[in-house]
Amino acid sequence: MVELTLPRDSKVKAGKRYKAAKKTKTTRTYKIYRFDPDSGENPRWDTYEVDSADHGPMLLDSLIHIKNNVDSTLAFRRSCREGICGSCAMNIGGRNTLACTKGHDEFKGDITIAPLPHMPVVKDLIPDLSGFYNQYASIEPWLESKTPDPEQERLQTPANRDKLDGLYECILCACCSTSCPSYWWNQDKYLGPAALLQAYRWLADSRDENTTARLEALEDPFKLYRCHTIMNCAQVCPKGLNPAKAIAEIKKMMPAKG
Amino acid sequence: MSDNRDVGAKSVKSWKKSEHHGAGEWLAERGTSLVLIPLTLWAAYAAYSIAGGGFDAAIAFARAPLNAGLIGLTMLISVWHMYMGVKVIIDDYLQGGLRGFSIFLTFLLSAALVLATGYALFVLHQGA
Repeated sequence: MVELTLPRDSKVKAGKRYKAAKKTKTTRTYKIYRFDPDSGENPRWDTYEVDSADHGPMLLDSLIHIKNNVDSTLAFRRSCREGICGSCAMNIGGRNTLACTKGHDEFKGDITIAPLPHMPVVKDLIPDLSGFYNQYASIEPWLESKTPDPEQERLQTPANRDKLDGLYECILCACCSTSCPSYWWNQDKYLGPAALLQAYRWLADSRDENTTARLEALEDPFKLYRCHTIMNCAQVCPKGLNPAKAIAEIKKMMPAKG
Repeated sequence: MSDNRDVGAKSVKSWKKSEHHGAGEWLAERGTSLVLIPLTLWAAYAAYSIAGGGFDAAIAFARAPLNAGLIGLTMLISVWHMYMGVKVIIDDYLQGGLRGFSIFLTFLLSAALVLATGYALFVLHQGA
């Protein structure tokens, strides 16, 4: 259901300011969302002044620098630092993206960093994605085939393999789903762009033989049809994919399923 | 208002359930949109053609069987399309009893519009 204001215990207040010892031309200011469930306090915006000459070019470098040198209590997820694991997905400068592939020089002025929107926050920049993963698991993201296992790989024509391009690259970072207003209001009923892109990835696979059952499981006014082609998903996807198009393809397949 | 916070508690098994409808509504939304293109053009042309003719000309126009049929069809399809559109908005933003009540009210209003159109055409047909 639509929520236009934050619950009282989630309202974000002003926080601490960590000033740079000496301000230079390369000093950047980061406003970072902080929340510690153990403290019982409301979330707050902490401000960090950091010289970008002291660390690498990406926003993940800035965050690691802050954690190592300024404030070790800052919590965030990160792993591969090259845009393939999806761990460091967060809202930077008002748009969901991966901290590891976004340069701090791509922003002017203060840079705001918050967790992925409209998800429960575990701590600081770490959202609880368990619901998101359950949605993904529910679309059965594996090959289902009644044909006995061949001795070698299940072969595809190059044309059929091409149908998976733009789908298989998804890293499940949740940038798309958490940028979608429909997902904000109805994430307890709507699967969201990421899970639906993955659903289409298996519907489009020539080796999968469970298409009808997959479509039947998706035919639901809320699970699938909450997509209103707002296109935030395609706009923010750090891998340049288009979940809205995949959802449109599922909708086109649906009436023909019989 | 914090119903979304426990979304993680919904199991994979319950996510697999579906209501097994939605494609029909999706097709109907698009079908009515397509049908409304010629009907709306006809309605605009009809309004233009009877403009300035006065009350009697309008009554005579609506009494012609083809025009009466097209007026009825335009209203029926428009109201059906409107009902589906408003229902989508209600489904997006409201939950629980408020959602059901709002959809019921929208249905009542839509049905009243169609019935009123039918009644008006019937009265015209009877020559009142």
